[in-house]
Amino acid sequence: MQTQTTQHGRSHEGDGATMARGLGWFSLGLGIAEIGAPRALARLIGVDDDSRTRATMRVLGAREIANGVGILARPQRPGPLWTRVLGDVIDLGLLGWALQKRRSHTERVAAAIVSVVGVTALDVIVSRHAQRARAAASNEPVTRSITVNRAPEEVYAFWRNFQNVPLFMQRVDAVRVIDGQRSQWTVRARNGKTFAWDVEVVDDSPGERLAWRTIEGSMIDQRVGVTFHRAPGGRGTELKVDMRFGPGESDVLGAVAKIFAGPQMAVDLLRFKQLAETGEIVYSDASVHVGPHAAQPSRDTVTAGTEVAS
Amino acid sequence: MRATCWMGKKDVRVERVPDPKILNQRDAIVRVTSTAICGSDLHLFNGLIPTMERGDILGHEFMGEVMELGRAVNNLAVGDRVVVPFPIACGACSMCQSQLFACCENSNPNAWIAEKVMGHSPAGLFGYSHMLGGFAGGQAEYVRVPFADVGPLKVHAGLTDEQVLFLSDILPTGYMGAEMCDIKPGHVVAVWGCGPVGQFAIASARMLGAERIIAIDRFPYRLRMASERAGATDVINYEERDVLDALLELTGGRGPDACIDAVGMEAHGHGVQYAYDRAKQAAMLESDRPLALREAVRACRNGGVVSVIGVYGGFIDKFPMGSVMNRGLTLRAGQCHVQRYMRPLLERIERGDIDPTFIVTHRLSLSDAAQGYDTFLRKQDECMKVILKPN
Repeated sequence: MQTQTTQHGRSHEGDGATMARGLGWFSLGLGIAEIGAPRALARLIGVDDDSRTRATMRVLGAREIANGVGILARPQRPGPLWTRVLGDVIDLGLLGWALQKRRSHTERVAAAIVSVVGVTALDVIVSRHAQRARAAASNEPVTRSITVNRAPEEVYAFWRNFQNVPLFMQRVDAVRVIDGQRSQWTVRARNGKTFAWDVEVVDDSPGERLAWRTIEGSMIDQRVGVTFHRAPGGRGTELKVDMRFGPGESDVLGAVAKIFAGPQMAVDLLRFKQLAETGEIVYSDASVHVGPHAAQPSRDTVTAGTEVAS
Repeated sequence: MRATCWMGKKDVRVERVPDPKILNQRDAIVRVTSTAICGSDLHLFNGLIPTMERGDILGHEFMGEVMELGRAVNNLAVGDRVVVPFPIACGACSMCQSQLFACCENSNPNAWIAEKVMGHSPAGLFGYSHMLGGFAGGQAEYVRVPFADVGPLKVHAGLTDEQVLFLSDILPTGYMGAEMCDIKPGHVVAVWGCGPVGQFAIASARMLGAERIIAIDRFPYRLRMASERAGATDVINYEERDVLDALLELTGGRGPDACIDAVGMEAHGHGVQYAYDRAKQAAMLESDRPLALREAVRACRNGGVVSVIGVYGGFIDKFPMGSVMNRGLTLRAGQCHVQRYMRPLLERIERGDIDPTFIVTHRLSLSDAAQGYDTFLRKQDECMKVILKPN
């Protein structure tokens, strides 16, 4: 019934992910050394190899291994990489403390500090790279398809009347039609903030395709394309929505991108299908609430066909 | 109103909750006159179905009287006596139009959760987790029934509640299990599990013309009912005999033409295999214990049908796919498309082809629902089917 295609992965993996994997393996190797040969490692970095050092070394080793596995599992994610930076800071702290200790081999400890500083710099670079790549990924087009058991002309006509949109798009509060091409959309983020912008229709092929974009100078640059294909076997219309964002103010854009992210689009398209096929949006005793609610009738007054804010 | 609420694993209580209201224009509010505890409710009771929340109202086998109707319901009137099918179906999507009501594309508002687990979402069900809609169930005084113009079956006063209540789920489920077997004259059908669904699968295989029907269980009283009331020709107690050996012996070494799994995700057994599945399930390395299903696959004759109507929730381990593939078995399964069987089965009840009341062993007040769950789970007092009466 529904398919979701996102173009993720390879395109912005590239060098960043290779570097991240390198750091992951480095973490794993260091962790194994710290657990397996704490004495030799202690001597190498010039700290006293007493039992306390060895115990500390093993704890740090466990952290490194966990961190390494985390990075290797998802090299594109910035989280585990930033954890490495945090680990570097801890290591530097410990080495700084060791430097003041009488029994330490000062030159070796200093050399170790220099190496860790170098690795820290590398970690920061790779982490920031991963974070930027992730931010760019959130600007990727969100696409989703659904089959609706109605003729393409009918489905198109329903979408073309933008005043219908708030009926099925949960986050769109209102659409005010300005003229044949332009309309003003008011959208509500999860935190309750509302945003408004004007859109204009840029492609209008009745029964086939409808596309609109935010007008010049809007707070965001959003382009939406909806195609209506006749589904094989007399099953109505294959509806496909493609939503893209151009560069814009990053915080606003982030909020907006989240509003229209894949999962919300999945919910909205099901709501549209319900509306088109059954005449209304289907509610359960739980789903009529905006937040979590047990599957039992509500204590609040519920108006048919609307969610209860809670 | 009072309603049977899921309060956590092995904790079911009758609580006071708000009365249901019309939420959609095709809703009905039904005053429940009879409701039953289903074997699949025990999976919820045992905490094996994900996405349950404290306070969820249970129950998907129920019937009653229409108290209130949404504006868009034109085929029912206040006061009508109706049996309600457990899958919620819109009647308008392409699945419903293909009579695959349990796969309705519109009735699960939480489809996105089910899609994550199953790939695509099935229909919403009454009282069966949030992943399957978050609909309040019918083990209550009142219940809201969505798409009341599609599902509920009107029944006349000449039939008792007990005669028609099981049209809501287990009679059609057992019937579909037998129908999926493509029974032809001379066929031998084996049924794993002689709970209520297994009994009705046996009775249905008999109605559909199977020559021999072999019932498999471990409780003598259930096997007795299978042969004395449902129509099994042979019984196997798996605690006394090896099932595969017994089936080879009963079928001249061929194996049954069709095997019905009426057990599902909480199969019992013995030996290493049972210990293995218990351990894996406890460690959450598999969600379902497929002992009966594995045995049904291995037992089935070459080119035969394995029909799965026992409920599975998620993932199973060590499934003998090599046996299915190399021996050309057909695996068929499904939540029952109840809406398509209700009317023909009502006619069979009226004609006297089947009297579904034979499975009822316990009649309790709704207030005693917790006791009903416990008795049914422990199979105390030769418990087969518990009916709850709200009033």
